Amino acid sequence: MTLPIENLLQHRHLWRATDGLQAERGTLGTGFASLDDALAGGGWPADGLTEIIGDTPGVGELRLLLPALAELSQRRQRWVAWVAPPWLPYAPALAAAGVDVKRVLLIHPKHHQDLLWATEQALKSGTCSAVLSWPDPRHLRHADLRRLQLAAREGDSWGVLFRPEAAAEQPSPAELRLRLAADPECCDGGGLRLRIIKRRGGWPSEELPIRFDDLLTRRLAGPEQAAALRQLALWQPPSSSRAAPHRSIGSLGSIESRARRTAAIAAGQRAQP
Amino acid sequence: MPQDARQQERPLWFCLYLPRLGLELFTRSLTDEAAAKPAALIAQHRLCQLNSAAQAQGLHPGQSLATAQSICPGLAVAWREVDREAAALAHLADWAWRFTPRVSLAPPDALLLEISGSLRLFRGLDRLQQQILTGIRELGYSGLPGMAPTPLAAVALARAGLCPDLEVLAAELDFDPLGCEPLGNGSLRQAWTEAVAKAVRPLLAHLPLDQLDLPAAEQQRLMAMGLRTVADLLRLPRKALGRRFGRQLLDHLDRLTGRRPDPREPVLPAPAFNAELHFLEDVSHKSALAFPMRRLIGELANWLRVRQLASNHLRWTLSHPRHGEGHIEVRCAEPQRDPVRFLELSRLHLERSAGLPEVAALALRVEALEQYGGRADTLFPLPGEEDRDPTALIDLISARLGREACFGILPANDHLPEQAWRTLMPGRVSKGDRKDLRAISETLSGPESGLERGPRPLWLLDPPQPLTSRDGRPYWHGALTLQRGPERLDVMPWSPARLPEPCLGPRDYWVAQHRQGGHCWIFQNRRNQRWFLHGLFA
Repeated sequence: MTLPIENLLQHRHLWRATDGLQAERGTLGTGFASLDDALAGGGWPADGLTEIIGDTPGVGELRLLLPALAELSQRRQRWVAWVAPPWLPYAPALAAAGVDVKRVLLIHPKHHQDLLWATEQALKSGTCSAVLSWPDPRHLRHADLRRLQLAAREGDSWGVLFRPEAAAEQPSPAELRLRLAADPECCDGGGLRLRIIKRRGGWPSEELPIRFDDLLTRRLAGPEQAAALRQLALWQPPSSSRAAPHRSIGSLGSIESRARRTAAIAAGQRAQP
Repeated sequence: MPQDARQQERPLWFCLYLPRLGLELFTRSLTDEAAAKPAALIAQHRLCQLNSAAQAQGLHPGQSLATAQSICPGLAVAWREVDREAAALAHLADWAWRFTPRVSLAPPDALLLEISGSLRLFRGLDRLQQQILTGIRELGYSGLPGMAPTPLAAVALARAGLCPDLEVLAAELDFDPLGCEPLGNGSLRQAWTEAVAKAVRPLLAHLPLDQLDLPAAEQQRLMAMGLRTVADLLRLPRKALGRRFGRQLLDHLDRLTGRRPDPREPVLPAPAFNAELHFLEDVSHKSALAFPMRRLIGELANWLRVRQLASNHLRWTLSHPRHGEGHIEVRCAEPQRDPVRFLELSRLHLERSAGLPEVAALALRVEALEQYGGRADTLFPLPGEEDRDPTALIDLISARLGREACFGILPANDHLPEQAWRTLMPGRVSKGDRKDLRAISETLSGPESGLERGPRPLWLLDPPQPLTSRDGRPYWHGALTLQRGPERLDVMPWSPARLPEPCLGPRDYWVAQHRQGGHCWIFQNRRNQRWFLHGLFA
C-alpha cells in the first residue's frame, strides 16, 4: 500500500533537491555530450519551453538543435513546426542532417498576435513534437510566455523560442534558457560558446564549448583551398577575423515582411508545373 | 396470396404533421431563450401561425397584424413564403430517411413515413415514435404524430390531433413498452400494425368531416345534409352517395379506409446536403451567427453519419435581400465529419471573411462527398501513442491565417540551389515524392556527397541578396572572410526566367565568415563579378 505523500512525490511536476539532475521528466538527447551532462535529465526538456538567446544569426543555433530535431522527426509521427522563421529553412540541408522533411511544417503569420496564436495552437495541439518560433521581441510579454509554456506542457511538445540578447535579463517561465555566442577559437564554423542562464535542477552554468561535427567542419581547408583563395587575392589568415563585433546583425526583419517574402516564394514555387 | 403473407405486408403509416412549419423556419435559428418571445407568421396581413408565447398573450390566428401589434407590441413577425416551406419540407424528408426508406411528402406541412419495416430495428413503435419526435424537436420544429394503416387516415388523424395512445396500445399488446420485446421475429410488426388498426377504427369513425381533404363546396353540402363524422358518411348507401357526389368522394373514402390502394411516391435521398436558416430579424453581428451555424453543422454531421460519408469542403452562403450574397468556403485537409472541427473552422473563416453588414439567411451546402473511412479507436490507449489527427492543426491554422500561410517543404533534384527545394501542401507527400526523397537523401548523405558538393546552409535567402563589395571583397555587416570554396555552379540558359538578371551566369560559391563569427554562403557571379549572399549556416 502506498501512502498519499508517496503518490504526491511521484508527481512529475514535483522536483526534490535530493533528486539532483536525475529528474523523471522526459528529455531528448541533444547530441552533444557536454550539453547533455549539464541539463536535467540529460537532454532538452521534451515538453516545455526552451529559449535560445543570442543576437547573431548563423552562429550555430540551428545546428545545436538539429540532432534532436532529426531524432524527433524520425521517431514520432508528428510535425516539427517552424513559426515565422527569418529565412527559408533549406530542405536539402535539413535532409542531409537527417531531418525527415516530410514532417516539417512552415507557418507564416502576418503579425505578432497571429504568431503567438499559431505558436500556442501548434504547441497544445498534441500533433507537434517540436515548435520553433521567432516572436517579435518588442511585443512579447511575460504573460504570453506563460501561456506558451502551459501550452507546451498540455500538448507534450518541445517549444523553442528564439530571442535577442536583451531578453536575457528579463525573467521568463521557460524551462531552459541558453545564451549562444560565437566561439572565437573555432573560426571554421565548428563550434560555439553556450551559457545556461536557467535550468531545472541547477544553477546558471559557466560557458560550455560546443563542437559541431558536420559537413561544414568536415571539409577542412586544404592546401589547394589556400591556393584558390590566393588566386583571388583575398586570402587572409583566419586570425584577423577575430576582430570584436562592432555592429549587430540583430534585426531579422518584421514578421510581416518575412510572411510577405515567404508567401511570394511559395506562390512562385506553386506556380511551377 | 396466403392470408398471413398479406398481413405481413399490411402497411403502417406514420404522419409527421408540422403545424407551425412556416413560423419555425424563422424561429429555429434562435437560441431557446430568444425563441421564448412572442412571434407570429403573417399571410395576407393576418396572423396565420403563432408560437406559444404569442398565444399566451391572447393572440390567435386570423387577427389582423395591426390588432396583434396593439395587443402585443413586442411581437416579432415574419412573412410567409410558400416556396421556402416546400424546400424545408423536402429537406426534412431527407432527414426522415434515417427512419425508413419509404418517405413521402404530404404537402404543404406533413411528411408520411411507412414504418412497418422499421419496427424491429427500432424495437417497437413507441420507441420509434419517440425518436422521430425528439429528432424533429432538436431540429427546432414542433411535430404532431398520426398513425393509421392508410396514408390519408394518418394525415387526417395527425391534423385532428387524434393519435392513438401508444402506452395503452402497448398494454393491450401485453408487453412492457420499456423492456425488450417478448414477441418473435416478424410478430412485433404484426402485433403493432394490428393494434394500431384496431385503435384507429373508432378514432376515424369520430373524425369530423372538415378534417378530410375535400373540396370546400362538397364539405358544405355534406354538412347541410346533417353529416358530421366519417362514420355518418360510411353509414350511407354507397351507390346513392356516388350518384350524388360523384366518383371522387367514393374514391377518397376508399383510400381513407383502405378499400382501395393508395400508393405514394417515395422521396429519393438528395445527392448533396443543402440546408438553410432564415432569421426573424437581420443579424448584424458575426457572433450572432454562431448558434445558427452550430445548428446547421449538427444537421450536417447527422446527415453524413447516416450516409457513412465525409466531406472536406463546406460552402456557407450569407444572404440579404439588399446586400446580396457572401460566400465562405471552408476546406479541410482530409474528408471528415466531426461537427466540433467543422464548427471551429467555420467560426475562424467567418471571423476572417469580410461578410455582409446584415444577414437575413444562412445556408450550408456540401457537395464534395466521400466515403467515410473511419478511424478505429483503441480499447486501451497507451500514453504517447499518436491518436490525434495531424491535419487538424493545418486546418485550424489555414482557417485563420489563410491557406498560403502554412506549407511543407521537400528537397528537389536540381543542382541550382534555389531550385533544389519546393513547397507542398503539408502532409500531402505522394508516392513519387517519397521515392524522390529517398534518392535525394541517399546522394546527400552518401559517402561521396562531401567530395562532390560543398556544404549547404540551413537558411536560404531567396532571391539571393546582392552584397556591396570594396576592392572586389564582399561586405555584409563588415568584411567577409572567405574560408572555403569555390564550388562552381552554372545557371543554364534554360533555367526558369524568374531569376533576377544579375544572378544569371556561372557562380562560384564560398563559405565566408562575418565579423560576428557566423558563417554565410555567398557566391560571385563570374559573368559580372558581383557578390551575392545566398544562405546562412546557422
